[in-house]
Amino acid sequence: MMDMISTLPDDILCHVLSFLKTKQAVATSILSKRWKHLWLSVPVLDFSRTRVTDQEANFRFHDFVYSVLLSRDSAPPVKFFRLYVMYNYTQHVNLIMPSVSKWINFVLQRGGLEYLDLYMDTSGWPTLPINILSCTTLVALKLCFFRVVDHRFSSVLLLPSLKTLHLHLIRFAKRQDFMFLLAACPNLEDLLISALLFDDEEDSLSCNEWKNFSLSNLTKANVDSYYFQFPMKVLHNVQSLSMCIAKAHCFNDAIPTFHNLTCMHLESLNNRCHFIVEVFKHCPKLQELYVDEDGMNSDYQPWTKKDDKENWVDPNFVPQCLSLHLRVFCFSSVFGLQGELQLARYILKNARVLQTMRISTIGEPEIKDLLSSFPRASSSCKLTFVYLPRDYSSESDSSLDANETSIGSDA
Amino acid sequence: MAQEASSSTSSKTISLKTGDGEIFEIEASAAKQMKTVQRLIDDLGDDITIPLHNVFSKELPKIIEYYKKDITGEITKDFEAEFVKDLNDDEVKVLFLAANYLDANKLFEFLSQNIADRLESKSVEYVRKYFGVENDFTPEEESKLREERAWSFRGIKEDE
Repeated sequence: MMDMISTLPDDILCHVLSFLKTKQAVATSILSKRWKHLWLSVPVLDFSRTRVTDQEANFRFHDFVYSVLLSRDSAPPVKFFRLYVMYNYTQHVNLIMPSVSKWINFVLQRGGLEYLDLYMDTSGWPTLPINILSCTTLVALKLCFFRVVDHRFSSVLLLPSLKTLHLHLIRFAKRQDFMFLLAACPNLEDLLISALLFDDEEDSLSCNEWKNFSLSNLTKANVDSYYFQFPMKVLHNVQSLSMCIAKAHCFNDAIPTFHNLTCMHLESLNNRCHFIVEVFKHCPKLQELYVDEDGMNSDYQPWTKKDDKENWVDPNFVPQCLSLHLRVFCFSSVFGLQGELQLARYILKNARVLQTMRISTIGEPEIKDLLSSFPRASSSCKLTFVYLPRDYSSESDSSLDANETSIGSDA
Repeated sequence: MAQEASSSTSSKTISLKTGDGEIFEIEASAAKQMKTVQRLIDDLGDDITIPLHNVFSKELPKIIEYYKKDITGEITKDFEAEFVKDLNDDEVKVLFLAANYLDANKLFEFLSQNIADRLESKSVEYVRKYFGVENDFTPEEESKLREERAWSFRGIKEDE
């Protein structure tokens, strides 16, 4: 049986090699004569988690990448290219980007690139090589820490195959530029944006050309709209949505109805519990809702009883998703303020098919008894409490130091 | 569980016979995920015990366990981590070869990744043994290659 592995054909071996970082894949060239050129058939170039300690190491790394690319000159095109480099010293972007642009151009020119993931931790914003945004074969694009600015910008954008777009710490000249980018991705299914910045603060999204724009194939979105107000209308077809809400956000205008939304994650609710009612009203098919309070008041201080100002009023009619669809409600970083308790009570009272309510509290453990006493519309609802003492670090895993108790009827 | 329209394969089980003569049952929907098995069913019918000459009683239960989880949509990262946690490199190799033989794509992909992870910073000699590779380079050829690709060999274990 052990001998079988040496009879495996080249394409199977290449397939295993495709899961290795390029550094290790190239090293296999030394195993035997048969293996010397196997790595060249692997359509994956993964230079991820490369840590460069000093200038000398950087030269060696650049040499390596150049030699890998040159060796692959007559090899099959690269489908997957990941470059993730961290510098242990101050490495200025102008010394890095010319080479990086050449590498990317080399890969793009061969054609067939489907997956691109880039991050260079330089000092100073790298400028994104703009030809990436006209790669018609690209299916997934992940970018971190780039400046997108080019005078050819809106005429060059074309990403018809793109299904996944993840942008983190990306700087655009104007909001319009970001919208042009989205408009160039009509088949987008998965969007993640976080920490988008704009050189020009003026809000240019109110003009009519974006009024009816939406991404109709989008099923999953993760939108950190802390720094800018993301036009929600664009996302109205999604099935799954994660949002981080800015504290001074205004929700009154233009929240669309999310007809397909079944799973929602909300962060930084900050005790605006009535917003959840708006969520219910605009998401008629909602099945799972995860809310994280974040526990900070408007002065960025942890809550105290003084913050307990919300006057909850039950809405006149019960939203459809509560009566028919909501199965899971998880509420984290709950302090025990009136708004939070009333929201939980309201959901328990009206959610007829609720199976799980999980409350993770940083405040008083006594709310456990209070919530358990509230009437429930769903007899099979299981109520779970996780108590995390107030001085837990917000970075820690919620499974540390948690005393978990489960209360409620088991179905 | 939601009510399913009853079909002839919804609760049907298939019998599989390993190379060492043991018989295991598997649900028809799981068997569908193993293209080799499905081809044999198409040729031989689903009432007969399907012979798997190259898969043995040590590894088949583990493969069945994986696909049991797959058909209920329960395969998560945690499950996969747990699945390989107590397996040594050779045991994973055996499963990998079996998944390849059975043309069980999902398991094959997962095990390919796992093998790559395990081999990541092993020594050259270890990897040779693992893949049953005979070194046919002369010492001069090998050292020349090592020099050319020096950057590749930093951080990889030295041969004992």
